[in-house]
Amino acid sequence: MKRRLVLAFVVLFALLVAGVSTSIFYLWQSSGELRQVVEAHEVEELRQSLSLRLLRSKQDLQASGTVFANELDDIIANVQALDSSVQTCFDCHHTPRRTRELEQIASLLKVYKTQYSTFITAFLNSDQRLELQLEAAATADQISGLVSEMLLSATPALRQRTRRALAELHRSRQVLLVTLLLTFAAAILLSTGLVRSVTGPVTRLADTARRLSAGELGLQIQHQERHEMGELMDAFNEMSVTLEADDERIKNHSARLTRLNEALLSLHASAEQSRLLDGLAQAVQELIDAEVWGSVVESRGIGGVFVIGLGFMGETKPTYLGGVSLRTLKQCWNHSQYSSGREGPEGGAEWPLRAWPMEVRLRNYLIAWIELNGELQGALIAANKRSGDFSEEDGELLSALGHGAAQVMENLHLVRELQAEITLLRERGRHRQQDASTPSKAEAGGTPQTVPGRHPS
Amino acid sequence: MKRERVPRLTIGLALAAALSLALVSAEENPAAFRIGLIPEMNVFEQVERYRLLAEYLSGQIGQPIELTMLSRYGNIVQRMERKEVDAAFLGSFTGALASAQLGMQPIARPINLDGSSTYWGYIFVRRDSGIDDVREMRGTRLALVERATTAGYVFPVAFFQRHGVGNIDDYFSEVQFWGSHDASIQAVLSGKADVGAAKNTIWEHLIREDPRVGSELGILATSPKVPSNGFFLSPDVAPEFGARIRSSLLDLHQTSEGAQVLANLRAKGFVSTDAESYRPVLDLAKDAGLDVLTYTYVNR
Repeated sequence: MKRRLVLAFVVLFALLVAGVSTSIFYLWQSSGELRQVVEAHEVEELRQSLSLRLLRSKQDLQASGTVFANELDDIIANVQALDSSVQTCFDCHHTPRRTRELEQIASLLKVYKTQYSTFITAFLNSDQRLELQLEAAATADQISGLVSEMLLSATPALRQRTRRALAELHRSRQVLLVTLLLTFAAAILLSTGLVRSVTGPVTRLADTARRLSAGELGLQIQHQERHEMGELMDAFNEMSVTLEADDERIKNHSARLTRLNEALLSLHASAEQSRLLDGLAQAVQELIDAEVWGSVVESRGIGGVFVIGLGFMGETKPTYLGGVSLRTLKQCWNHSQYSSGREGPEGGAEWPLRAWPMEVRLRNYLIAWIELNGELQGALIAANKRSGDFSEEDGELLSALGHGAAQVMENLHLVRELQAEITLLRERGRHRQQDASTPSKAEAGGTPQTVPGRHPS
Repeated sequence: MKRERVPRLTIGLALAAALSLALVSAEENPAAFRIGLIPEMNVFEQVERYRLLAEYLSGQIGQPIELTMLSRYGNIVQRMERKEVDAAFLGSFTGALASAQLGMQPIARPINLDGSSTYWGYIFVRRDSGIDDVREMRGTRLALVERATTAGYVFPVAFFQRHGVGNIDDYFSEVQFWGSHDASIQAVLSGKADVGAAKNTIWEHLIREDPRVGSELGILATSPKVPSNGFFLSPDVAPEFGARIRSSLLDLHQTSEGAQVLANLRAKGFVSTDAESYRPVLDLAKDAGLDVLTYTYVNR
């Protein structure tokens, strides 16, 4: 995008420069031509001025000695201006022929100045003065003739040149107009394309973002853009996928928490140890997506020995039953919430509770310890996760289930103790009734009978 | 009554405004300092020679300067009397006259390109005329410059008097006054006159422009050296103002702009001068029988 923007601006700038250069070129050309025409007109004006000054000088010459004569300083100023006009003519560029004519005029003008000056300053008789006057006048006529000839020959050429310059100017104006329009049109086309190329993807991105925010997670933008805009769309697609996956994970987690809650409620409804074990087996199967489930509970018959029950998912009863010592369990427990293991480099995971008794190879396992008042009460087992390894979430869920199981066990224990207490109290009540009906026995010195039983802690 | 007041008031205001404008205009455009030039040579070239100097001095003194050409050498007397000029570049004899009769003060004079600040006069003829001395000039046409020039009148008159010619009008068949030195030379060169008189500086200038002057004309006599055309101030010019002009002229050669002015003037610089420098002219005038104090210039 950045490159495209830079390129677009470079192209715009190039268009502008091309337009301006073309304009300058034509302006330069036409203004050059016009300048020459203006100069030619100035020259023309100069020639006309020369002609007028010459005429005035001749008048001065003829009026000399009469009341119409001008002051000497005015006469001198006019002749000097005449001289200056000729010198200015020399400064312009002329054809060799024109230069020769100017040189001739300059030469004659010098003669004229000498003659005129002599006429002004000399004290001569009237005939001699007349002769000087006529000489000067003849020279002036000669100059006048040359200037008129120059004027006559230059005017048509100048007129033609002026027409040519005006035509050139007209053409330049047209070229300038076309250049301006072309540059403007090209700039508009380029700008429109540039705006579209920027706003099109942005609009699509905004639309997709709106749909994503409306819940269409995982929505993807199909695009062919490269560079920054392409990268932005790819990042958006990635974000959409991530959002969808996170949403899925949150939903799954929420569902598992719901199931855990339901399982715990169900466990709390268990009134017997056997029902508890059944409930735990079902809960492990529901919460953990594993091939093998199991539990470890204290053996009622043999002290210090725990029974391991392992079964495949979908089965309500364990396939394998075995025993393990409290010592072995405690070695594994180590006061942690759960223990886990996974397939090592040699293949297969190492089962911590004696040998793996099931017919399937152990890939990974999860053991959540059931602990009550700092004493190990048993464990819940899940093995061979169907997809991948057991996650931390699996561990926490199984631990929560184990914790629930511990509470249920404690409750069952308390219920049992309460029931025993109730039974004892009932027994005592009955004995008291019997004693009341047969007071002689008591009075005869019999010893009171105690009923064995545990007091509630 | 009220109706009459309005036009009067309007006219009064208009006059006051016109007067104010005139005063402002006068302040912005102080009166020009007018310098007179004698027609020593072609009047057009003469004005052109002094144009740059006038511009330069104008910048130096902070006042516009106008050059005015005197159609005759001796016109300076009349123009001064009419207060038409404040200063002038005058030939040696005209200067001596102006100094003696009008009290004009010479303050500086140019140094020629050869380093001198003097000039002298020539009496010349065409080489093919066969005239070698004064005796052979009898009955010929004499071309002079002006009755108020040293080289063009005083020197030849003195020269001819020394050679026994008391009255040139009688000795020559025609005495022409061409008004400028170059015209006098051209008159002899073109055959309109047989004998001519002119100053050396114009002679040399013409030789550069027209080599025929050197090849076809021959010099028969040379005058003593007299001061070159000096710059004379009217006695009405304030001394401090005159001192500024004098200083500007004397320092002219020290600046590049001044160098251009001098090149145009065909001079190397200016030297200080005073009335005493014109002693040789007075001597020459005495030889010619002229008294500068009483000499009356007449146009004729």
